[in-house]
Amino acid sequence: MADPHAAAPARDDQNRTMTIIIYGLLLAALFNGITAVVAVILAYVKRDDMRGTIYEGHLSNAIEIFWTALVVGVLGCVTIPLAIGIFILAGLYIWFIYRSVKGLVRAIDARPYH
Amino acid sequence: MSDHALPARAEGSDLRLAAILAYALYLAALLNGITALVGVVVAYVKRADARGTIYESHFSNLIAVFWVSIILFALVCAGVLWGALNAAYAVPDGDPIRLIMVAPFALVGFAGILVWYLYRTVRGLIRAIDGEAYR
Repeated sequence: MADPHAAAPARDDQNRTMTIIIYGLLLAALFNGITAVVAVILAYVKRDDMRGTIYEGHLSNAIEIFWTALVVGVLGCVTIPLAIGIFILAGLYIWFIYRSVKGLVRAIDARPYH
Repeated sequence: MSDHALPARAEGSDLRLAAILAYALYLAALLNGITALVGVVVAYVKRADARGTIYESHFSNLIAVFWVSIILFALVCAGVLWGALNAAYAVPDGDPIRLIMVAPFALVGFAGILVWYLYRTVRGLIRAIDGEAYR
């Protein structure tokens, strides 16, 4: 069965796999911090390849997760002496897991982030 | 394996696998505390997909177990704290050693939550593995 569209599904599979890896690296960063940097670099590098596909939204989501976590994380750490920092960090933690796991599940199902 | 509209048969097994994974994460949470959060996010994300299927009951169960456990845990902690402070200091010559009086109540409270959590999780896991609804 010669499939003239064989190239497109294979590319889509690659995009899906890369997206899953990026989310996995983000979640792994909860244990080691640094894989998030790898994840966001991958996301920036692959963003052009995925433009127009359902995975474009996922990469934007991953990039947003990274920068938000960085900025709010620093904010939370800095305000720890004011007591509110702990709550900011706890809220960030929950938000981070929500966005990453939701994205991961959607990517595994080959669906957009929406 | 390169078909990107989800095949019909995959929907059910996808949901079943997601439910089993979430229950497993809940059990692992007893050892590390955090995977329950991942599990409940999976449950929220998949619940919309599962509407109208038998797996909807599982994701609703997972979500209920998460929130009820947290609320009960907070209530027991608050109760224990209140009881402990009263036991130690309510009486004018209150002796801090009387804090120990709350220990049995704390034990019953936390053990009760644990048993309920395990019951709902293990029962759900078995039902999901068997491909049955939660009820």
